[in-house]
Amino acid sequence: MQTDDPAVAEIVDFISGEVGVDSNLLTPETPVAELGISSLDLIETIFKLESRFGIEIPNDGPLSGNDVTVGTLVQHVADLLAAQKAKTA
Amino acid sequence: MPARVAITGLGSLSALGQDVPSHLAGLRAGTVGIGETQGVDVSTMKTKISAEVRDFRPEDHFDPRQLGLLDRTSQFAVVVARQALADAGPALEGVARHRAGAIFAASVGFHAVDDSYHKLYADKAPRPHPFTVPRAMPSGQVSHITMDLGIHGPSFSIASACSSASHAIGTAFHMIRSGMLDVAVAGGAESQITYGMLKSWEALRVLAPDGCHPFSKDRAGLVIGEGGGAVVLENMDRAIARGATIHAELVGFGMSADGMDITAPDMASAAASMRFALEDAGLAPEQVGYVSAHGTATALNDKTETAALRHVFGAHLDRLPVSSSKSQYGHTMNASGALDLVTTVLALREGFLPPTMGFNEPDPECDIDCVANASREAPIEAAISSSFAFGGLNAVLAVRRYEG
Repeated sequence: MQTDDPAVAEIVDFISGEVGVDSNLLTPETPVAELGISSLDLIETIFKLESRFGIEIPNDGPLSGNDVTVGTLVQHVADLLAAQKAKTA
Repeated sequence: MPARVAITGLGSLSALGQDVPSHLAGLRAGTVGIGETQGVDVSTMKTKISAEVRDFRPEDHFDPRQLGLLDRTSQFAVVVARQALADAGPALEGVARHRAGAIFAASVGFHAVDDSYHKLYADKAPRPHPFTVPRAMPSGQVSHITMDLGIHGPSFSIASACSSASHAIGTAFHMIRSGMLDVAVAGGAESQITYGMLKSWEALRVLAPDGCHPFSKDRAGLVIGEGGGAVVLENMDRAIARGATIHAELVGFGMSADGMDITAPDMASAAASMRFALEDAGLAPEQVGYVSAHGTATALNDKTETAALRHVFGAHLDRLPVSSSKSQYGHTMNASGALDLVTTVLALREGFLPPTMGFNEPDPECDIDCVANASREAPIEAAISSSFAFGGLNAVLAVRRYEG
């Protein structure tokens, strides 16, 4: 996934390491299920993202469906991070 | 006519070793797998000892993604189930999907509970690991076994405290005998060696401070162990037809409930379960040549069990060797019935009496030949393996040597 935003790049790198998929294969349109990430894997990845970035990803957010894409996942985490920064700034 | 039931596969994992050959070698040599606990910080506990499975490397058995969902208890269960099936050969080949089952002890994934609650309560983590529920659920071990071995017939877990594995094996035995199943993998696994559970057992004041001494006058309680045991049970005709190695014949299963007390045992009820197992097996008491005792090494269990044995076997008890392998691999709780059955089958097959280690001083209230401190050679025709659980849930399995 190409990006100029270092925050997004960090999130992509972290996800790529967790799920064992090369970060170049993580395009925004790719459904995470196509990367071999089961719904249970996604839940664990969300848990690890929360721990890694010190954020809370709500249960009723955009990641609760079965057709989550890489773009949705990364953008949601980036938004939460940005909101957190704004709060503490 | 009820089907006969062959035991065609064995699996074991305990403080004696991580496979059946090392289990057998340990029984024969009188190895004691009890030592200072290494896996848990016991500095705040009076009881420093346990019977741990040392040097178990989960990554040798499971890939990392699989491992994230397996509590130590389920890891043990899958490993012993694999061993038992590998030992049995192609037992599942050609079996209709609904005629092969898996029945195991229901064991809480205590490591998952302990780790997650510690993070919540002590570290103030916002949430526990998301796999806490699948790791902790008591049916986890049997689910993982069905996935791992490709079993699609009747499969479930049985909870009866320290009799769980015996009830599981006995139930599988009944299902084959009645004609419902052709093959079953049955047994139990458990690891309660966590900070929370060691503290809980200590609080109950049943743990021995210095070692496990069943039937010895100086016995002072049980030693917590961990591990797993599994057997493959098979319709006898089918096992013979496919040329399977038959370790022994499972011939009887006796059960009873004390209906008395949540921890204290009851003599009459323990005796009844042994008597029912013999009746079910069509064995006269005099035909039994070895008893694998429940033998926890608490003051109360061992004298109650001795009285129950006397009640069932009468004068024959003077010639009947009875031993407690808990003196070697500790009290493995939900796994104990399965590990003890594996021990009993090996004794029958190999013709030796496993010892009661740690025996220091005779107790008039335990006037039995407990095979003190060294194994002995002896041909055994038939044997029983007893489990008398907390809460008075008793299960006794009877096995007979298979001559072929």
